[in-house]
Amino acid sequence: MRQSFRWNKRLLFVLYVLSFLLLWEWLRPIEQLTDTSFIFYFVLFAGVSLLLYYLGIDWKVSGFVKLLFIMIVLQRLYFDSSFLEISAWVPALAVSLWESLILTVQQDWNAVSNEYRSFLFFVLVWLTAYLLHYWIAVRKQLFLFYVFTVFYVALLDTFSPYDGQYSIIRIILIGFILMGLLTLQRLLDQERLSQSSHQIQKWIIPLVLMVAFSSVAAYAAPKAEPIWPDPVPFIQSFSQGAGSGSGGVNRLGYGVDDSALGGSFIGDDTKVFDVVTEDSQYWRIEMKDVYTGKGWDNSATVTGEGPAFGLEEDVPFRLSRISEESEEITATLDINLEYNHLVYPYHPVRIESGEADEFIYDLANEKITSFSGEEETGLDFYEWTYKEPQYSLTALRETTGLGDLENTGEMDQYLQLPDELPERVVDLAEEITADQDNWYDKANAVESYFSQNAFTYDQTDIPVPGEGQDYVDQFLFETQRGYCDNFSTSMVVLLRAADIPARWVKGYTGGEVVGQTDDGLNEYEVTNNNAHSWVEVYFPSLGWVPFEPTIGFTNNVSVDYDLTTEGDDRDEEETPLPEEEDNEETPAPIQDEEVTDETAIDENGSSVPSFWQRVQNTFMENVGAFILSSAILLFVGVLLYRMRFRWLPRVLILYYSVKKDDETFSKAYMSLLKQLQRFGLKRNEDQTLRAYAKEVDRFFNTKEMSRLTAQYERILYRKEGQEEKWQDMRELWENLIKRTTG
Amino acid sequence: MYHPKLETILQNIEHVMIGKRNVAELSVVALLAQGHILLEDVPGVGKTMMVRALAKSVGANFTRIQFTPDLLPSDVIGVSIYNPKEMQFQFRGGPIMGNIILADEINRTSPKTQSALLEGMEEGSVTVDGVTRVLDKPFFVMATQNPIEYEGTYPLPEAQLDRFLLKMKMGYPTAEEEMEVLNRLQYAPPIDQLQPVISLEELKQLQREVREIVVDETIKSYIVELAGKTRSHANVYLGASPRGSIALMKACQAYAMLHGRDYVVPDDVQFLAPFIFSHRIILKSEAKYEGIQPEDVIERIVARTRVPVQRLVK
Repeated sequence: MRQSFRWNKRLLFVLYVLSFLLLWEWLRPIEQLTDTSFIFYFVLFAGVSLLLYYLGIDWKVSGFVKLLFIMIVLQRLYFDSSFLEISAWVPALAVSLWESLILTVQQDWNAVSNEYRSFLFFVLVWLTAYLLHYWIAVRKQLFLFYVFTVFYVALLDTFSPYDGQYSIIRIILIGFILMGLLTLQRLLDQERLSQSSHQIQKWIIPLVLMVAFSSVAAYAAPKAEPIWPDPVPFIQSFSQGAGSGSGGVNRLGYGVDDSALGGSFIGDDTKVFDVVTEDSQYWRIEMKDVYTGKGWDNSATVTGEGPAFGLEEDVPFRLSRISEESEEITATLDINLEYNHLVYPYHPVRIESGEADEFIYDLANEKITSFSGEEETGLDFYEWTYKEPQYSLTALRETTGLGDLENTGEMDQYLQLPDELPERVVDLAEEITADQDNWYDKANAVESYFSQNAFTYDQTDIPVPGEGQDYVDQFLFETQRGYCDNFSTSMVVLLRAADIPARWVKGYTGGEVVGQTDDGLNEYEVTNNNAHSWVEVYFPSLGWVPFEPTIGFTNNVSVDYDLTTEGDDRDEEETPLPEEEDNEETPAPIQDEEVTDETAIDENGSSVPSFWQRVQNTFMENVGAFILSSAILLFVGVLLYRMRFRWLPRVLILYYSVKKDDETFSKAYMSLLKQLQRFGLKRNEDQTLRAYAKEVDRFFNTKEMSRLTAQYERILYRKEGQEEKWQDMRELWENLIKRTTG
Repeated sequence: MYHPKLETILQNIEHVMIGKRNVAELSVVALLAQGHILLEDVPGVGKTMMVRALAKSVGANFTRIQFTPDLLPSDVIGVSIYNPKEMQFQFRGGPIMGNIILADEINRTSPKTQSALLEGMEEGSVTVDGVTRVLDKPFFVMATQNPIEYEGTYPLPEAQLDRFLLKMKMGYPTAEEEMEVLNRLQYAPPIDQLQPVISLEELKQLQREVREIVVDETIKSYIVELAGKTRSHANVYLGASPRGSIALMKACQAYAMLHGRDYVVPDDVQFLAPFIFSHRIILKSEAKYEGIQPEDVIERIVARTRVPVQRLVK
């Protein structure tokens, strides 16, 4: 007896130690992910709490010890005076805690003091320790906590920089041993077995061996590549994020400095502006032309110089050549985050209104800045009139070189590449573009290279290139994972390596449709998540044409399929198209092509494949949503199924209240039997209905089941009619089935 | 919920026999189903009393044959005696010519004498000196036998055991029951006070009505399934014959009537199956050595057979 008691105590101690280790796994990532320091004290506190619970010390004493511990730690961390100079720090601490408590009530949570935060965290650890104690000592079940621990680490590992590789191994080891021992405890309790050391060893040794063996085997065994590489990019691209910035974990949004790209991003759905216009389109802010190997800069040393223009004056620049007769479209922008620069569409004509006197188009970076007098000013509202550019495919495909600009050196800044650019980038560029003879196809080949080669979109865990490492080289050959900056920068560098002038552009994507105005225009909301970067390629006959290499993004670029020479089937009209410059004027059939990296172009448009294509695209784009919703549906389904004994009776009552035929009684009775079984009153196969009815009646303390059963017996074994009986017995049946919902 | 008339018989029996409701019910069942009972028990537990009470309740004449090793068939069925006055043989009926017969210690007598009785049970008539004499109706035999292990017994052959509708054991009364027995018997045996509660004609009428009790297809298939399982059970050398199934069905009908129902329910089958089948199966020797009783086998079969709770799907 004495010995078994000692064994029990020892086993319990091991359980507490293991659960402490498990709790520790919760605290580990906190140090790394948040700016919590001195995590040691919290771990120590968790240990002390569990020890006190293990020793079974009276709650008043242990509560006092824990409070004392918290006080000492708070004093050590936040106050300089010695602990015994109580008058020096206790009032200050009390005031701090009190004020923070008030702030908490006022929901001003950012302002609460560090002392208060630490204190709350101590309380949290305290509660968790108590829960663990409860699970171990009282419930003797820890599965829930264990599952949560695994989820916690897995989630952090997936979505944060925390690396849970070893943590998960530790958790598996600790968790399985812990649960195995708890099961032993439970068994010993339930079966009232003597807890001799011999028996406990019989259990523990195989348990430890098994856990150890399976862990080692699992760790050492070769692991297959996941079928689905990484769900995270899908989930994240589903929330339409993109960004630009430099190093470290950043928030998404527009930033000026792009000289050091790389690092992770977190989303930010702060609204930048609302725009009311016809179609979704990319909004330009500026371009950069010098690739440094780490990021982007401008070649021009002088900024702020450029043509000025006023309200309702035509803008003094063109990004591309376009027919003057194209339809003019207006876009009304309602700005939420004010900057001094304007966002503008691809072919702006003029600014109709806005609270500024003058605008300057900076030639150095193509930024439009608004001025009020001499002062740069931010606008909260302005209206663009613009045209939608259309690029003639003929002209695009005809371009194979710079033509007249060849030796002028005008385009040199857009062909710049750093000297340190690794040779393999250039080789890759040649490899990608080798099969294409014109610039447009080459650009398309580079654009679609990413999606065809298992590059993935991701915002977290994106490294910053190391010393002497090239940003593009790292992305192309090592990580193959990144966001818009990686894709766009890489495309520009690859194009330049193939001698095609290209540059890097920043701005916003089209945003999300949030409404429609009365005159049929759409309202788009553009947030910081829409901040984006993309590529422009120069075609001598057309100007700058945007391209979109980033996986998961689409720019609505209108390409005019005016080809007549090749692929006649694409164009029913035989209208001879004279010069590409004028192409836009001819009413040639126009097809908006979505230049996406995932959409295969299928213009001869047999409708079935394109339909499937669309379905497939929709699925691919929303795969995260599909999976999420099917997971939710599955979860709800499983929940409903598991809870069916609660709601099914009501459905059955409703169903059988309208049904009246010769089989109703039998069916209703059988469904009652099933329901009773779900409720937990199972009829054995060899149990007769009578015997079962008595058992049920004994359970519910009624005679209803026996009465109902007697009638059913007459139907079944004597072949009596059911219909009248059902009228009489329905109430009885309903009473019974209602009881099972309680 | 008993059949009112039959319940009075039960009450009569219970007046004499204390705490033997099951035995009384089974006796009435056998009487109604026109079957016979084999009682396997030690002497002195009230077998005679039981049969006499039954006989008295139905106003039948009661005879008793005490089987001994030297009993001859003629001692059972009767013998023709020469009457010098009338110068011819005259038949004097044996004890088998009664309505309700207690055949005590049937396994103590030679097989020849046993078969004389069993033949009468089966045929309902006996043949003496070339004349077939039909036995009175109702004809109900309650045979007792000592447990087979006893020395000096001639075990009944299987074919003859089959003639009994059911076999039951009486068992000793509990201490309280035995006290009550003593109390009642202190002055005068209560059997003397019993009055008939049902006439022989009424009994015959009931025996005819028993056949009308509804046995649904589901019940029949349940019976057949149980009988079939006795034939394939691992411990059984020889299972119940179709006659066994018929016996079970008839007994169920009688049991249902006794309980005031005009249809059979699976509970009837489950209750009766051990009594009907246990003497109709022969266990394998291994099973016997392991101490398995036929009743255990039947109970196990019942426990593993699905009770029909739904219409048969055709």
